[in-house]
Amino acid sequence: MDQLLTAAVTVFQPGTLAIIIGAAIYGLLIGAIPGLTATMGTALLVPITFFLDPIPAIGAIVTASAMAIFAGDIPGAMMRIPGTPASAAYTDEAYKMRKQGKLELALGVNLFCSALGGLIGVAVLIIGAPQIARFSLGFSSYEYFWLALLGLSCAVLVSNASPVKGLLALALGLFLSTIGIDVVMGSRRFTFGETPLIAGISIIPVLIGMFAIGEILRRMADPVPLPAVPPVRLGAMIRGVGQAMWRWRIGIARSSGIGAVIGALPGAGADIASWVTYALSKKFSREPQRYGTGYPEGIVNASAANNAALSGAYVPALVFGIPGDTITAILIGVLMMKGITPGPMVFVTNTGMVDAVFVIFILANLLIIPLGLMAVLAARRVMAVPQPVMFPAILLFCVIGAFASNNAVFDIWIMLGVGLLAFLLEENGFPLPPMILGLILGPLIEENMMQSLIKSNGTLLPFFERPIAGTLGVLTLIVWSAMAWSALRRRRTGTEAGA
Amino acid sequence: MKLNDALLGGFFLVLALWIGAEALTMPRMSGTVIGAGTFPLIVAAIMAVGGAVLMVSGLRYLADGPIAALQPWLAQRDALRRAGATILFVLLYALLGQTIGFPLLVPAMMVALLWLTTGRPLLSLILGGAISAGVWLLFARILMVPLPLGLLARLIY
Repeated sequence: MDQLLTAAVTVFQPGTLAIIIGAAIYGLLIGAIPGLTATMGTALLVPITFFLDPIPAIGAIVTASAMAIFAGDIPGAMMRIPGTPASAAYTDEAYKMRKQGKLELALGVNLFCSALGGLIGVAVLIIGAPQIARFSLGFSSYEYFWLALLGLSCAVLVSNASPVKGLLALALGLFLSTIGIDVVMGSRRFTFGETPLIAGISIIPVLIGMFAIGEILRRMADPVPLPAVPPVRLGAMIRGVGQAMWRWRIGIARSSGIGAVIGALPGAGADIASWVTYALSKKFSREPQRYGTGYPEGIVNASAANNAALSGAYVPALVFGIPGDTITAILIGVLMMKGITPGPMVFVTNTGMVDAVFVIFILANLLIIPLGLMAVLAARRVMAVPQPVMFPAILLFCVIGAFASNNAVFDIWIMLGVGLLAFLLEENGFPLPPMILGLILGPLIEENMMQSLIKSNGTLLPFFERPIAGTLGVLTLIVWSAMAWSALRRRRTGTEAGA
Repeated sequence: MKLNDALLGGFFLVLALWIGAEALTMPRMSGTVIGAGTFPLIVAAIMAVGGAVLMVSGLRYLADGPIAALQPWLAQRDALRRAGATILFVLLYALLGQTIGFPLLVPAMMVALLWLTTGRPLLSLILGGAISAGVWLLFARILMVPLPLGLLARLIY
């Protein structure tokens, strides 16, 4: 408790607090504007965080993403356009509530359940992460190798796309991670004689290219006209919420717990948590027939779960350096740029930073309530920003943001190249999260694999000899078998290919 | 652009072969097969298997549709023009940014791009200037990023 209070003093420094509040407002804007995803918003934030100290940088990313996940519910309820994919599961339900004149209740339930779900997720993070870190202090390179590989394999398995395409996206990310000087021999790999590539592919332009350029291209070419937004009354937003939350309190607790666990699975972020808990809440509901008619129970459950998932994703990210979703992958990239490698040792050597992350999470989820209320009231103005103006401005921000990380024009070329590649891949059904996870986890896997191979004189048996390493290895093989089975099934049913 | 999986699988297969060939030429630790190329070789093998599977499954559907097709929203002339302008914007800044400089190049490019997307010249002029100034202020003044002055550098210094 004392440690948390000490960390709170760090977080509540005026400069850090100002950055967190600024990031919160930015996150609300990103989430409330249809077409801008939480991942894209986080990627756009990276060039700014590059210039900040680690704690304000983490604060900015955590707060902006938590706000964006909640704010994605606003256009979903108002216009039936989810602001972020994490809100898609219950957009129809919330929009039907609007048509019944219950827009304020839908938004109020979204707001308070998001905050509560987020706080339950933080509790899981605060209790779970240090325990797992303590347990994993004895891990050797074998365990780390399997853990990272298992994480990547799960990311492919749950990517909701063809396993073959997920595997190829992952391989592409792993290949990009090999560019530059290798960890064992110190020799250049795939640098084409280009000096900037010796240090490897810079993460910032890749992130911007992957998550922003493709979306900008799509929106510039095909702007979606947004319908008019109704006015919202503050009093009506708060009234009735407490009663609804009390009525479905067990569902909130269950969904938040499940959301946090799903968030902790690599590749399965807030959107999957939202879909799974919505389906589960319907299964356990006393009135499942009312789902789909503007019934708040599903919204209560899923909106708590998607914010809980966000916190849960930080458990493997902080403990093992293995990102639970794309947002934590970005955060790990930022930490690595600042010379901090997440892992169990962080809980021993850098407890101040870990505690500060916990405090930031608590603060971010508490800020959802006052700032979220303001965001809902201001939503009409925010959504009135025309897309033909917004996307050119974001494009300029991307170009300068990519340049700013290394003051190098080369990074703009990287951004454009990766952006066009990611656009083409997405249009053809390739999931992008495995690619970014591959890029970020590639060096970790390679380093641990090479260390293990050197220790074992090139034999594979020692990879399975230690109990935890062996268990993780077998689990990885099971996940691979599941992927192969899924690919074969798709092939048999004819859903693999197409033109 | 939607491509047949055979084409995409073929691309990955060729890429995997190239990565594998490069990896085999990389130095190894003396007396072992382990070296700088070990990990890229494994990645190439995964990519080759995935590419081959995708290619084979795409070949089964080759007769059912075109090998490449534009998405309906991208097939319209205006949409293609706006998408092209987006790419051109980035290309122009990468090619000319250092020579012409941010203060002269970016406002002109922003105004042109906004004119294309909004169709309102006066509004584009005002917003283009304001957005460029805002980005300059944030990056050059607050974050101290040395944005290129280009031609203006000769006048100032």
